[in-house]
Amino acid sequence: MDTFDLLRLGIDVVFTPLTLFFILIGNLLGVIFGALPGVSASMAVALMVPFTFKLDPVGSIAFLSAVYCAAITGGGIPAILFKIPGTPASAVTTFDGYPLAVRGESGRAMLVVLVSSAVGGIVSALAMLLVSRQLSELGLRFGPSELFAVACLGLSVLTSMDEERMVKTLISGLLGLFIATMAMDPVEGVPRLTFGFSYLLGGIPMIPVMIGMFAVSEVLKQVIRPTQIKSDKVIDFKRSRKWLSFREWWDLKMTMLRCSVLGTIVGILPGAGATISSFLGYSMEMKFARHPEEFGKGSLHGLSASETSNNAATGGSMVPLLSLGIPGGNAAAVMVAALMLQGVQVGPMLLKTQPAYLSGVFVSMVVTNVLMIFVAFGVALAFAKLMDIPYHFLGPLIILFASVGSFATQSNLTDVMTMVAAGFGGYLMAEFHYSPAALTLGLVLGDICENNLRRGVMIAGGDYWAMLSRPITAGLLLACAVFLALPVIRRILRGNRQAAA
Amino acid sequence: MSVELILNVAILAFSIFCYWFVGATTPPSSMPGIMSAADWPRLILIGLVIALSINIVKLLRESKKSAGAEAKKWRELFPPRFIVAFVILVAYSIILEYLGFLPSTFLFVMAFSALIGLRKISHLVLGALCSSVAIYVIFQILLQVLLPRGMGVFREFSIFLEGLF
Repeated sequence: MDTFDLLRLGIDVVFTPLTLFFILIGNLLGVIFGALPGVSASMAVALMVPFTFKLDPVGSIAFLSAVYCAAITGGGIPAILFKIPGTPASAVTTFDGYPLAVRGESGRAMLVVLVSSAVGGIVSALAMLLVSRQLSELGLRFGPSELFAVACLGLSVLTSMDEERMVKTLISGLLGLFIATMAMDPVEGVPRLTFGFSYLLGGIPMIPVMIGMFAVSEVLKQVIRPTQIKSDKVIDFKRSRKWLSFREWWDLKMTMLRCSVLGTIVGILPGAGATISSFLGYSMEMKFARHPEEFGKGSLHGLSASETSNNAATGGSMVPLLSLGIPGGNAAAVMVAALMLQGVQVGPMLLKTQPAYLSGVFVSMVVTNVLMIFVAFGVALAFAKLMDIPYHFLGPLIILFASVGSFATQSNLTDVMTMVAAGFGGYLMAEFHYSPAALTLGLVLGDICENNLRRGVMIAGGDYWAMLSRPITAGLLLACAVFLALPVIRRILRGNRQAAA
Repeated sequence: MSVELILNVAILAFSIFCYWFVGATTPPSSMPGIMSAADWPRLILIGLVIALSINIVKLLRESKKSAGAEAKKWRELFPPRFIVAFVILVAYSIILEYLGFLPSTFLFVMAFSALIGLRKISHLVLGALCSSVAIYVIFQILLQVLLPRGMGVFREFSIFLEGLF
């Protein structure tokens, strides 16, 4: 069956009144669930599984992939308006989205988020349709040593996040990496740096730390400096000062393209996913940016990088699922379960015997990503209404959402305490110009970095050189070294020039 | 000594302690030549100690240059309003376990709104009631996300409410 036939088959499957209706509903619910902190994208997909009993298996997976894509995009809404990442994958969106909202440009920020998400989603869906098998094979070539190098590449952004305060950013990133080690050792299975607290055995959870660092610290700041609160005048989605010009959109084209490719590849990799993808996309774009100093202060490129990458990862995670029967992430695993409930045997033969699955998911993802722009815009308008609430109600409301978001993942009250502690830490870091963003980067990548390094060394029989000299690994590590060293060299040269002058 | 400097020194001391502690409390690698549980954290701690030392030297130089003029003071960093807000947050995270979601959220919203500047008792009560119930309805009833139930009579009350929907 050629691509054109596949496409026609997909259109036949998706463009039925019932499936289209379900995709629209899935879109709406996905965006709303994604926008609610505490409901992750995979949780949103799981919540929607009972609805699939009304659909045939192909329609079911089309519907669930619509929910998944929409939930990842929905997470960007509270990230921009309240600095609360709706899903972990939206944590990076807060870096540039919230400063834009504070400047009265939440409408611009929202548009960039929606269009970038749609582009990322559509490119990854295209990749899924055209080169699914090849991408899966590429994904399988990424063993532990390559994944370690990918994580290192993500960490290499630490020296360029804030060149004026390089040491402080490095300290923040290293603290994040260190916090990630406080857990049960992943290889030996012994408690490490847990100081006798059983809570730490599972590691310090990422979501409460992110919510605390960004949302709670912001509320604490607003409490002591009420003059900064310009809620109903400045952070207003509807009265956003200006929309994007054609030139600004054109400037974002390469960012969207690069991050779509990166996100799709990261989505395929086992153990990675939308969260890691958004961090890596952001790191990569900072290297390519003409004005990296604007990142973290309301850069449209930063915002676009985060959202394109995390949405592209949604399509990427479907690639191994459909071509090999291996779920690329949690949401894809839920989809496998939903298909199995309907008696479908997922595996490498699925695409050969029933190509309707691939084409149905592809058309559903394209339809979803286009529909999502309008649906998410409507939901964002409704959320923006919350900004009209006076801050003496909005502040506690943000804390409530943050608390439920932290608690809901593991139903553990200690997570709420972790969130409060992270909020305090985030406040101190912001006051002294350290980087909460670098700390979360370290926390997210720490686990994947250590796990894969140690597994890689073990597979290589303790031969570090053999592990690090594998072609993909060596190439990525070399790029990492250059990226790490460049800002340092640039700074030294600048210092010398100033001294000479 | 500025607050930032004190914090840096404290983290440096903790990092050095952890460097020793992780080695002393984890077993050596079960296979020769393979990384042990302590190796990765130690690698990071070495980097952290170096970066913190550089930062401390920089902070000391800056404090000498500016004679402490720009260093943030304790009171400036933690004004009474901040301390009260933080205490309310900590208290909320603790009482959630005992009182359950609805009563503790009601109390938290009242206290926090009052701190931010809402004075009218009727608005405080109404605002706290509406926001607690709204969050409860969205998460517990619509999304079936389990919220803290509390202990004793509060637990029974939570279970009774859950049974109603």
